[in-house]
Amino acid sequence: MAHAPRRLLAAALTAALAVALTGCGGGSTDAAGKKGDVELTATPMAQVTATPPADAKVIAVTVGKDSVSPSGTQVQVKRNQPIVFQIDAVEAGELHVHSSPAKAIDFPAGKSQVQISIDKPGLIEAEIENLGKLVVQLEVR
Amino acid sequence: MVGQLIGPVVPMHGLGGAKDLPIPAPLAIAGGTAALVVSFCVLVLAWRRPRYAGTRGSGRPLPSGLAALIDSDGWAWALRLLGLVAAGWFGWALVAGPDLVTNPVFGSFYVLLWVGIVPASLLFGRIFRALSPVRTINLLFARATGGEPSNGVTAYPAWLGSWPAAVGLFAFVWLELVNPHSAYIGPVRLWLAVYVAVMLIGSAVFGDTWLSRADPFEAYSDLLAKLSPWARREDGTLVWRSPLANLATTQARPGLVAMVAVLFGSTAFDSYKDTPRWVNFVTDLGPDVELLNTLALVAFCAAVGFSFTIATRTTSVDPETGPEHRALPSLLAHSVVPIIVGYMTAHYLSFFVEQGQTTLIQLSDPMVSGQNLLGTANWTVNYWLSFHPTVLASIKVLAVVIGHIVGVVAAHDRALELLPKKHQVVGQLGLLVIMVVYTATGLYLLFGS
Repeated sequence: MAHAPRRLLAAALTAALAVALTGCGGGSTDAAGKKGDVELTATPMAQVTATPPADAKVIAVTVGKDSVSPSGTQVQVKRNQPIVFQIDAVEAGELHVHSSPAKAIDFPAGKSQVQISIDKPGLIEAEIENLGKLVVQLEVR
Repeated sequence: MVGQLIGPVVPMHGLGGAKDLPIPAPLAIAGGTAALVVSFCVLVLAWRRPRYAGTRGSGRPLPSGLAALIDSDGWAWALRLLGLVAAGWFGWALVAGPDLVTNPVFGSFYVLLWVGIVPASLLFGRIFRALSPVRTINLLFARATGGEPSNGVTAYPAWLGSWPAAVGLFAFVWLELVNPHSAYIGPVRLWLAVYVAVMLIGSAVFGDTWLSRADPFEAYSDLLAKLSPWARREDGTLVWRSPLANLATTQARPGLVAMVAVLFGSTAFDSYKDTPRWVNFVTDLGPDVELLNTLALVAFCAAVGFSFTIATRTTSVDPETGPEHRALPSLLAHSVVPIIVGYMTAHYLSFFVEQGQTTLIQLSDPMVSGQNLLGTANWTVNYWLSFHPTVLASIKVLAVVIGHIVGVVAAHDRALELLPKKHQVVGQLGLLVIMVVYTATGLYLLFGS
């Protein structure tokens, strides 16, 4: 059985190599990791001139230090229907809409507004990224 | 290394964007009713003698030329080489690629491997062991040191059965469904490094039986392959066999019920964890989302395991000639596999088709630097399924119902083999009820989540 210890050694060395590779693997760490997302910016309310379209679904979002409202409500919308988020936030942050591709919407502190629409049916979550909190689940039909 | 993962930004999402719409209520009810009716028809009207008992020798041998090709060394090495090349490509993106969601590592791991293993094994049989890079490395080490890949330092203890694979499967679903950093590269690297280490050292100690019993992907693929038309007789002859006859040859090992429970429980948890009810419950309770989700995942798997064990052990067997009561759950566990496959199809179909295409596109650019190495970078994703939610919902319900029918038939046949004549109808009731409960729960989660 002289071969067995040698094989065990080979296996152990390869295993160690695998573990070592994970420790010092290269690659830039982009904390946001959001390449491929559609990047949008909400317009501060003071600069908003037009009112939302008549057929738009308006969703008022309040963002506190550590809380959001609404919190996980389901909202029914139609495909391609304008969806207007009216955000009132204590500090700047990001509203992340998990459509495919995802939309990353930066919003400033204070009141702001952004309009999106979704072209595919499905259930889509919108969350405040920096708080990790779900705002609404859009049910797109 | 862990330090870089913990920052102020803790997004709670994994891979994939939009999810399927819930299936319409009439479809869910129709599916559930069909499952219930079929169950009782099978119970009362179907055959009275086991048809699939002792099918290990059955099946039609392949044409000799085809069998010779598949059994040849060249074929085996071609597949091993393919597995090594794919693993090398993946490993390159894993070790050197950037930590971006568009790195093909995530789609390859969570979609092509984890979900793709289901259709691949149903079509081609025990595909993962044929490609498995760790199996090939074990073989090469054995050759290099003058040993046999099947012989380690000691024999694999039979009482362990498939328990290590059940643990490995749980580790995978935990990473995918609970770890909030599942779509960051660090945890995937760590998971796979531990996987490779455990597989290589285990197979050096126990021989390659370790890989059959402990490699979660191989054990999963082997289990699914029992629903494929590919089989081998005990003398090794390659045969085509009816999937139901093939399913009946599943080995009733310790840990089989645990494997089945993890597979089914985790998929159910995946449906449940995104419901607003659970998300709000978890966020209201405070910061330790990970712990709560871990407990919930364990609870889902345990619920499946315990309910199945109890339902099968209530079955009355002949104390003289029948099997022992405690052996019953593993002897009947194969019948849940089709239900799992049906539910997984329903749960993952659009994710697999659409995220799978995205991954194929991303694989051309493993460094996420705009390359087109495989010529797939210019493809566009076809979202036909998402655009046809009614078709999608119908396919999902159909998959669940077909899975249920196959499962009930498999359970009925095994029950005829195990139960004494006078208990054949009543004795099956417990099992039948639990199968209807599983299918109804699956439909409810597809409808209500």
